[in-house]
Amino acid sequence: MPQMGESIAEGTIVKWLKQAGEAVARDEPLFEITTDKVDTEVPAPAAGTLAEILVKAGETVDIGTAVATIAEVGESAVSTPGTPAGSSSTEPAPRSAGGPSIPSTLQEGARPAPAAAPTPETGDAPGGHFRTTQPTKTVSFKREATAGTASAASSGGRAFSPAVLATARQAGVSLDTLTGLAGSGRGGRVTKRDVERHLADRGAGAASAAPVAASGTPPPAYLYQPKPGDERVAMSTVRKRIADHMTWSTRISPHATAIAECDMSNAAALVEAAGARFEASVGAPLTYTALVAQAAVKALGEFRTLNASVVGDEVILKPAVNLGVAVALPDSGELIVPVVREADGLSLAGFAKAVKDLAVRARSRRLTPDDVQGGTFTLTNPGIFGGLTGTPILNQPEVGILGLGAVTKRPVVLDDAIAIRSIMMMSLTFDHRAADGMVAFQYLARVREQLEALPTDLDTSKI
Amino acid sequence: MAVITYLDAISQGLRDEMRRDENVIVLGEDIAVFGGAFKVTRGFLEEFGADRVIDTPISESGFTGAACGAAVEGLRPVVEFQFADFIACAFDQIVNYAAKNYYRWGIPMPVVFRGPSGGGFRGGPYHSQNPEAWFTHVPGLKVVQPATPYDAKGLLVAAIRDNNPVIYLEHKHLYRRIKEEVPEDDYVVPIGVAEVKREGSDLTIVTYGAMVHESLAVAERLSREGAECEVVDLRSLSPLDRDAFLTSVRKTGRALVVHEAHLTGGFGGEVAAIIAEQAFDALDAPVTRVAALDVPSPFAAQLEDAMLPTEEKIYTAARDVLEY
Repeated sequence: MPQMGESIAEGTIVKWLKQAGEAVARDEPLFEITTDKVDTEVPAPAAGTLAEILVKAGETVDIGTAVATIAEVGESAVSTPGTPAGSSSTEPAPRSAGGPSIPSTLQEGARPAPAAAPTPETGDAPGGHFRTTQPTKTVSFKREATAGTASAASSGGRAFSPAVLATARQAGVSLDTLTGLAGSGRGGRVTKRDVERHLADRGAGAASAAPVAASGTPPPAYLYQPKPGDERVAMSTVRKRIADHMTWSTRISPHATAIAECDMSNAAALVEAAGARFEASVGAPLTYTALVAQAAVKALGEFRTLNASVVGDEVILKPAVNLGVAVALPDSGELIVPVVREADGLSLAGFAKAVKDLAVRARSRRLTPDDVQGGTFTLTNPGIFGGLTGTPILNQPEVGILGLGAVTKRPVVLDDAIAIRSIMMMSLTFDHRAADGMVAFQYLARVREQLEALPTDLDTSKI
Repeated sequence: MAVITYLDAISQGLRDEMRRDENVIVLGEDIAVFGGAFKVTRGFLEEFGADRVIDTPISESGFTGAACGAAVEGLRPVVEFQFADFIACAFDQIVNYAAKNYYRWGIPMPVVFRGPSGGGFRGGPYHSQNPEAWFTHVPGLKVVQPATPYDAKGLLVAAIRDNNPVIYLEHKHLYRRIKEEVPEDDYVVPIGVAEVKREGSDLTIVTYGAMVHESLAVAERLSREGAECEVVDLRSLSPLDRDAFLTSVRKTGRALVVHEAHLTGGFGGEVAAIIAEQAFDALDAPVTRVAALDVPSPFAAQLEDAMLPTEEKIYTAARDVLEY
């Protein structure tokens, strides 16, 4: 059906001037049509035999619809040369002409000529930009998209859109958290929806699974690709929790570690002289841990910014010391930190009993959830394994953790003479947001003073 | 309610207004005896007579000036340009006289300039243009571009009753291709009010005219792929319903602006700028435009398809913005 004017979408066959099987010459009138604008005869686009009439007189079809086929000379009359693909007789397209197109006909290759020129006057087949089935290649507007991607990439893929920043700002999500989010946009870009999903997750199960997800996927360059021969061991639940906690802790707090030596000769003499009597009387051994714990807790009373938490712009000072004592589980070596509650009210015997109780229950896996919550400061003891010193990672949300090295006999200069003394290294990791080095070293000095001033014996009848 | 074509809706709106108000006249080339190149005014001469349905010489500047003079004297002329492309011949009368009459002398200028516009049917460089941006740049003119039969009739009635000059651009490709139920009663689609043609939450497509239908087809396709597009049909470009698309962009965070006119200096740039100025905080992706290439309309089918924004191009751009 030829297009008889720009706005014409359909036409009606009034009459066929040739019947199927009749020979037709090129440009010989073939059928009559009526449209909204004109009534006219339509000439044959090619010479040959009218092979088949597809649209009968009286029927109305979209422009571009094949209405008949002409078999050219030497061609079988039953074939349907040049029947355009997507012709609306088989595939009516909504609202569009849906008709054939020059490209689709040419792609078929066989007989482009008849369909390619429906009528001399109307020229090309219709369809135009309303045709939906033909992918078109030229897309100049891609320029903008490419430019946008490039700029994001040049800032390391961590450029955030205004919407992401506004959403994060409103919900109090930090830039660090945004940076840690796994993005679903192009090149891992964080989208507004990613932030909203993060907020939903955070609201749903803040304490449980969310932090693991939120720690994000590091760039591929930092990821090891397992190779044949590697042994792959799935993390235990405790391992995963520790990994998550440590990852978060280093992200949350700027860590700094202060280190000092302490002369434990008096403590050693005390344990030597009174240890057996102490254990018999108290029911728990007199250990370096108990002695240091008592000194550490007492010193916290003076340096309260180390018994604290940071919340926003505030440092929250705690009214009591709940002392966490790190314990390594015997079989797995995994770390657990049970808490001695209100440790600032305890005597030396109290510390000894509490430390023993927690260690025993931790190793026999009989700790309750309450036992491992609510700590305000932590004591850890790498010295048990012979370590000289260590740089512990903070146990969030605490701001201080004191590490104890092994107590070893070493030659030291004392009153300008070389003496053999029992020496222990102490390392205090602190949150540099809450305190500075001066406080950390003054605190260590106060702990040291107490330990070096210990008596070398104890009247165990009085404990 | 009858289902009628976009063209019949225009014709009906025009006829109703001529029946309602005897001050309404129509003039243009071949509109009386011949009924207009597209038959919008078929039968008008017989019904309203030669005093109100006037065939003019082929002189756009002349009959536009005549219409403006008639408006000053109290008539409400509706001028038909046979193709919107030829409105350029009357440019001075429209932008320097009609647009400024009220500002300069306080004289109402109730003229409607109807321009059959748009391409997609191999009309070549002089019968395919979309000249809206020539006029949105001129204060004092109103510019509307309906996409549906309902809007076509309602906006034409509103334009005729407006005391300002209104550029009414009707898309030739929609004339007989788009049908819709249209009330026979008197109704108005207010000038300056956009309409959300489809609601969605993931991407805002701001468009008008023929591209509304292409955009709706893309929205349908993307919906099957899991993304919901909101299609905002501006309907009026001047005055512009900013709130309509700003509200939508604030909801979706992503905007695609689509029109059939050329990219450079096209009205889409104005929309994009407004979004950047007033909804910056809401944007999650660059505002992107889809428009015709900056070349004259080719006659050859393949070239015109390559030049015009197609459903495929809109789809590709929409995916780009959605995946950003």
